[in-house]
Amino acid sequence: MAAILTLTMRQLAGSKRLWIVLVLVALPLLGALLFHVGDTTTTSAEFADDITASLVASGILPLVMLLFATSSFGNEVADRTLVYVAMKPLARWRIVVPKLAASVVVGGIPVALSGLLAVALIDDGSFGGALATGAGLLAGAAAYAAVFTWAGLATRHALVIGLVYVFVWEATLAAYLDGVRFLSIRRYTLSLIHALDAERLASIDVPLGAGAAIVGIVIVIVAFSLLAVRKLRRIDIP
Amino acid sequence: MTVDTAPPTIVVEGLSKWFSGVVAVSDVSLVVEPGVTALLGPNGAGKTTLLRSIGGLTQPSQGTVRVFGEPVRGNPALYRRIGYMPEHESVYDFLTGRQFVDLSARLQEVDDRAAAVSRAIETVDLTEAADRRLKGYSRGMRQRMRLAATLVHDPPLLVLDEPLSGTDPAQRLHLRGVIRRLADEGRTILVSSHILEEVDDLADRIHLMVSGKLAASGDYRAIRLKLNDRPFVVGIDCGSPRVLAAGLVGIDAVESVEIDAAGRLRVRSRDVTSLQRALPVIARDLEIRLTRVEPLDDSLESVFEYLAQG
Repeated sequence: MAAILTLTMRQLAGSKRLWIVLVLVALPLLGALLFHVGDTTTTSAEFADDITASLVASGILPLVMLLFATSSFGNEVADRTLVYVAMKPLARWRIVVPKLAASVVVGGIPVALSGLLAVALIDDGSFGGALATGAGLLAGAAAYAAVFTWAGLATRHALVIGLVYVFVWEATLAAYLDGVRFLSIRRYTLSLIHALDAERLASIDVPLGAGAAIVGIVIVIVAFSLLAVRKLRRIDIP
Repeated sequence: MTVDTAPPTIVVEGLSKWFSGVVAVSDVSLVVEPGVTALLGPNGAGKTTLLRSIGGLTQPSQGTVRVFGEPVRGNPALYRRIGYMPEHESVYDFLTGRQFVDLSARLQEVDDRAAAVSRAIETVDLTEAADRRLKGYSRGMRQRMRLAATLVHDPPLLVLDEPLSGTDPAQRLHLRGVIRRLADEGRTILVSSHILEEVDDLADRIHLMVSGKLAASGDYRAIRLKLNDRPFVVGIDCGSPRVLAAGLVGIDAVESVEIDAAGRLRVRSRDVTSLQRALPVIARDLEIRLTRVEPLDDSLESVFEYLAQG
């Protein structure tokens, strides 16, 4: 699995989209610096919560994971190099898992670190809150990675479908409709951060407890990983 | 390496594959045994689709494929015994040639990987270029390095889709030698091509595909005999086509003569050599000046179409 992990990380890190991601990842840190430089009446805890909930968890994290995770298989399907991995004596999960992990390493870890550092910078000395933010974002990254890795394998329109999920489903429908608000990776991510440090996101509507958030994230990761394995078994390898 | 020659390596039975109503392969049955077998046919004949079905990369619409007695689709363990080289030239071009072959060896869990990688690269005679990135390789070098990655785990079956494509004459000669030697060591090698001469002294057996169907099977000589026996159509431009047509219909080498709307003669013959000898004599006797004589259906497609009918 290490060979596919390394290969996929090199593919993802070598692409032009890495520059877009670096800019996105720098935004929370820029926000943290502006908070200290600017004149604001917002408390540091409130500002850290806003940055986490409105910028990182709602925008940067899903976008970065969308760009990377849809490419981990999508690029190989598009350029027809998937055959070099698919025609090997490997159980299909041994291909899917490192693909998914690669997008977490290349996309999820930088976003989690960015969120962690931003919170630490804004809320001086709140290392517990910073670590909770980093851990929650990383878990959310893994869930997004599972969904978008599957999408990259299942359809050529994974980017469009991912954008609809992030900006229509999560940002609009799941935010306002009580019936579906539990079906949102963003919700699981924020709830997990709050569960890890009760002082974080206290001012934000976080509807789930720690258990529900963890179960939600685990279900998403396992279910979409299995779907990706099933898809890889069935598709015509280009 | 030992190869059990009792059962055929590949058995294809009644295989058909269609995409959105377009039939790519239609009811093909064949067996492939140790040695070199060539799958010959023009572009679009269905060779690649058939090879992809044999490699388990695509699900046949109908029919079955068994490799070493096992179904290949959904059976990744079988890939330890198969080396498959796809037609397209895509590679991970950010890797060096050695890294590319090494990746294949790692995924095949090859013992003594470094030695196997060096041996495979040496086989395709690319040792000197092995540490350069694939991005800078010529098409022929890329083909050879892809072949090295295909055979690094020493599989008893190699499926090579157009392996000589893009190679220069020297590289082609070398690759043919490599393929022949690998087969002489007991392997089964299935190789596709759209050029008959490319597989003449390479393949022990040739399966000819046209329009998704298996049109003929045999060794090179049998296919070549059919080729030589086919009728040719020759186009002739001259000053007096009707007079020349009247002169040509009298000779044995000519099956028929037509004059098209542009006043050009279309002469159908099964004995082009005799026609070549007779034509200038008849033209001289009739005092007709020939301005152009050319074969009209010497394209590969027309040759294959004829063989398919035969």
